[in-house]
Amino acid sequence: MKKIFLILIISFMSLFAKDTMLDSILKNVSIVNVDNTIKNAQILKKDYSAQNFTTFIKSWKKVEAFYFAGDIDDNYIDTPRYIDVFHNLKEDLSVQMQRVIDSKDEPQIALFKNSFKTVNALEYILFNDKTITKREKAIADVIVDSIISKLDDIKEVYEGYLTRTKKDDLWENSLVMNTLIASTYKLKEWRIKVPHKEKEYILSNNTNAAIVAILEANEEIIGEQKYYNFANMAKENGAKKETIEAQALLNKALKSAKNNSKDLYDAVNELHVSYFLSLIEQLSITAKILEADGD
Amino acid sequence: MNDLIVFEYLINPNKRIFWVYIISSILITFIYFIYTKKSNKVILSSKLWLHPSAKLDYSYFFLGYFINVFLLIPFILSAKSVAFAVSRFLYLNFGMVQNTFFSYKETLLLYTLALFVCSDFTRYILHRLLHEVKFLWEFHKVHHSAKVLNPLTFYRVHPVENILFGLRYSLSVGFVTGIFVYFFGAMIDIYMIFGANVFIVIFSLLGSNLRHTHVPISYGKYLEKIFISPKQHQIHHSNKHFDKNYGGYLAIWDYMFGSLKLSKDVKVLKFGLRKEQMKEYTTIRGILFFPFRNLFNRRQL
Repeated sequence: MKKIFLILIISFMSLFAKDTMLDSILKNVSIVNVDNTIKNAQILKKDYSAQNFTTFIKSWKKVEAFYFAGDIDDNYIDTPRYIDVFHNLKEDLSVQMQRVIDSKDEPQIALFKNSFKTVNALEYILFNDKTITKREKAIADVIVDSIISKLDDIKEVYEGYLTRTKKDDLWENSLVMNTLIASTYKLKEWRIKVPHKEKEYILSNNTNAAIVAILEANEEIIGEQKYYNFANMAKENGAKKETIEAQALLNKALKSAKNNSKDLYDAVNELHVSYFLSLIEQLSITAKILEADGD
Repeated sequence: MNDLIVFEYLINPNKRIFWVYIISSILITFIYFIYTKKSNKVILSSKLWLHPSAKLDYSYFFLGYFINVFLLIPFILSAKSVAFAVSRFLYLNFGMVQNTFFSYKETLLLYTLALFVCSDFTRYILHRLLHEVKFLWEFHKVHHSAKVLNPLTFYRVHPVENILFGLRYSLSVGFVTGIFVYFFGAMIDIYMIFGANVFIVIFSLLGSNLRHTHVPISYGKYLEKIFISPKQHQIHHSNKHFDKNYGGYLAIWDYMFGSLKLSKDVKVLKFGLRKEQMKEYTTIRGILFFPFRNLFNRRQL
């Protein structure tokens, strides 16, 4: 009887145990975004319309911008590259995808490379011309199935992490901080600064939609939200002023992106600098390290 | 109050006399005397442990606690300032570097190693300067005034030397950390055991405390070119070889810069300063004020 009572108390207490910041982000942002992307991919598979593709891309960009699975489990470091090869592929994917379309091989065989099963490959298949042929649809189906399978893996890693008992706050905070920095860096240098012909999703005309989605993902992590996120953690740890400043810069960048403004690069750059210099410094994420050298 | 001081030093794995390191040193000593069949008379002698020089080490050790609290902790805070000044400078001048090459675990290993090596190197440089710059030697003499060695001799250090070592810590750790923050962002950490740098723990377990004892353990002529053995540090304390073996954990700096002395090359060890100088360092007051008086007198001449 005593044992049962004890188990009940522990279970009751664990129900009210406070989530770590990463736990909360995984539950409220990452898993939700992965689910949305899977759902949008399934909708796209039923109807390869431009609108459905845009919706799917927007949800995927949110998953990609804040991808934590590779850091949680080394085995999943390359998963985003199996879904998206923008800025990571040296070959001309358009030429290769045209060969896939022209080939007589079964789609499964023709799509033998990982890069052939990515959203970038899918974009070419759907938007290389105005029509989607029967073969192109069959190829697209295989690509979408592959993407969904990879997204399922990501979801599994996130859900697995939530069941772990011991969490390292310092590591989690640093991980999210670094991801914020990396997301804005890639955004400004890979997606905004480059010449028009090198921009992401030129064929489907989704360049700006992707930029807005990435900034919205930033807002989910550091904006004012109902769930516990990076902003709450940073404020609790003495970086209230810096967090409010970053939030204002993020709003400015979002406005610029939605208005297709020319100063978008500067706005995102300001946000990136604010993350890198003000937030890291104020949060003193490295404080523990500096005292552990052993003099 | 004294109980608390001892307690803090004994339970902190970053301190040389952390209880685990003391036990491992005793075990190593025990094995050494059984294995070599040498006489352990000296090490067990009350003359050694109750020597006036040893007694001074014990009492000065307590004072060292306050020196650390009032002089070192402010410097530890400034190590953070150095780190962020370095990363800020690099970022503003060279832009962001996106690390896609090293995994988290590799970064951890690199940072832990860089901290250890850089810290050991700056320790070597400062130690050598303390010997070779006359002004600084007046303060470092305090450490070499120990006639007999025991683990607490490690703490027989003049406050000026404490400040210099605090500054060295801030600059070296801050510099390395700043570079790593620039390249790897917030996500850097170190491999730790008991909450201390893994390398420090390993070397401490292997008998760092034995350097300030009369247990002449040597690592052999090959290994002593890489790591400083207890005997090599004892050689550094012997008054004919003050200018040898400045290294902390690594001997490679001594090897590279020509100050290495191997255990096999020295048979007789005599610790302490010249006889006429020794009388200046027999009290806490002497330890604290004679360096200043000596410098003042030299200026008068």
